[in-house]
Amino acid sequence: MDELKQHLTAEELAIAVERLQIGQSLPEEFQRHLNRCASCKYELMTVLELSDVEEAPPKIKLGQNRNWMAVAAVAIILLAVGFYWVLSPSQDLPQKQLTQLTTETADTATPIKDSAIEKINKTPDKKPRKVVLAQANYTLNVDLEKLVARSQSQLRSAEANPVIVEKLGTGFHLSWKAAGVSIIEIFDNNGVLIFSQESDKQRIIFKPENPGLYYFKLISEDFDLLWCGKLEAR
Amino acid sequence: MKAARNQLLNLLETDFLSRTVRKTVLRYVNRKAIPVRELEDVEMSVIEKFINQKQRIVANFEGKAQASTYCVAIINRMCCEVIRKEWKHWQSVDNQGYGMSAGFYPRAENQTDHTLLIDLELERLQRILDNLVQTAASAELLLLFHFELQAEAQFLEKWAGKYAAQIKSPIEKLSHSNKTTRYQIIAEILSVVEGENIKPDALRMRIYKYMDMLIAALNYNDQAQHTRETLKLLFEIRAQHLATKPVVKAHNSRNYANYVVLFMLLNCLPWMN
Repeated sequence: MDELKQHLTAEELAIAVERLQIGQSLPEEFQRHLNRCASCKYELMTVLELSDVEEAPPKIKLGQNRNWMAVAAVAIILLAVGFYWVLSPSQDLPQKQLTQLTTETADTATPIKDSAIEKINKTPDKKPRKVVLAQANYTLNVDLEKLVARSQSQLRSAEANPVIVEKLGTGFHLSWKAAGVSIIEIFDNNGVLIFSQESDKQRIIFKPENPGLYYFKLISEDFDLLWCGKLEAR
Repeated sequence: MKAARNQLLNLLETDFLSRTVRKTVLRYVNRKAIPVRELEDVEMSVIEKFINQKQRIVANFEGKAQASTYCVAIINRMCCEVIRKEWKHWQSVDNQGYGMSAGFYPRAENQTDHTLLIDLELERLQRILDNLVQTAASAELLLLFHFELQAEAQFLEKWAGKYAAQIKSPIEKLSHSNKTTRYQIIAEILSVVEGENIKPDALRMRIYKYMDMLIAALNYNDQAQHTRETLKLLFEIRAQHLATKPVVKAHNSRNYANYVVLFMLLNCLPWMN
């Protein structure tokens, strides 16, 4: 590129914007030109600003539309019910009460037919506690899911995915292109930090102790969140 | 490449063009580069330009970037062209102006010359920085350090006061240090000037707080959509600009105007008697 005589083309600007959005450095010739050309830098800044707006979810103004409140309330209730159902230790309570009731009624009142008792015994689909716990390990973490969705929404092309996750036996190989020192943090689905490593090698191997859903954050040296993703260990 | 061009054509079949043009024009309206009354006219001009050049735009697209980002870059460039062409006319219609004279706009017909827009943006940044520095004296300097930009010697001396000589040597080390060391050095400098023991982590948090405050002020009332990334670019543009000419401070120019009026009044007083 002939330095200042020729400015960045629209496509070159777009390439630069997309690189900055995923925390990658700019090609050297672009950087060299930008260091000397305030106009192109201004354009880059503007397009970056406008592209961010393009990807941002629409703003919901309070008072203008109250539907979201109802949706949020229903979602919270459903989540609470879901959590209670999955984690509650007294899952078998209704069945116990039911059997007690049937024995009591069998002693005192009209006898219940065998087929009916059989039906009652069969109906509660009692899951073993281990299965319930294992399922709990895959429950989505609402806050981290939001971060994952935000990272995904900023992603313009599949090839540009900043963190590549590959299955490696019982573990996972995570690699990324962001240069310099990066911090990788891995959380379980309860949002508890279980692994953190600072590395300039652009890759780590993570071996989860238990199966479940895990979230990872790629953080730059300046503590900027570059990427948030998730992986599932079976 | 053909697939990418098809993707671009498909995108242009949607309302993407009109939405993006509106967003872009609104950005400049909010920055006072386009008068509000001209919003729709500029929008129409940009859409017209785009449609007229559609074939060329599609033919030039190589698919190295996403079609949507490519379009945003083109629309922005077209919008700047309209501003450049119409600015004088808008100024003559509305003489109250935006703090700059009609003759301010450079003659350069270069497609990507943005002197006017850069000056408007830098003037905004300077106003906000001046306000921020009143409450946080170190804010501007810390941001300069963070963005790896050089602070002027005079500015540094003014900030450091009696410690100016003491911080000279660590400041010199800054330019050839890596990021982690830089933060340690900056923390040391700040500790000397403020007389407290400031750790790099605390410093980092402080810088991010200043950055967020600045972004919030720049974006106030949806005037802009600045992020940390665009703020960095804005600071770099400012440094490039300062290297060529000093930033025009709006309130300073107003002050000078007041002094001139006062001077004239004082000179006229004897004649009035």
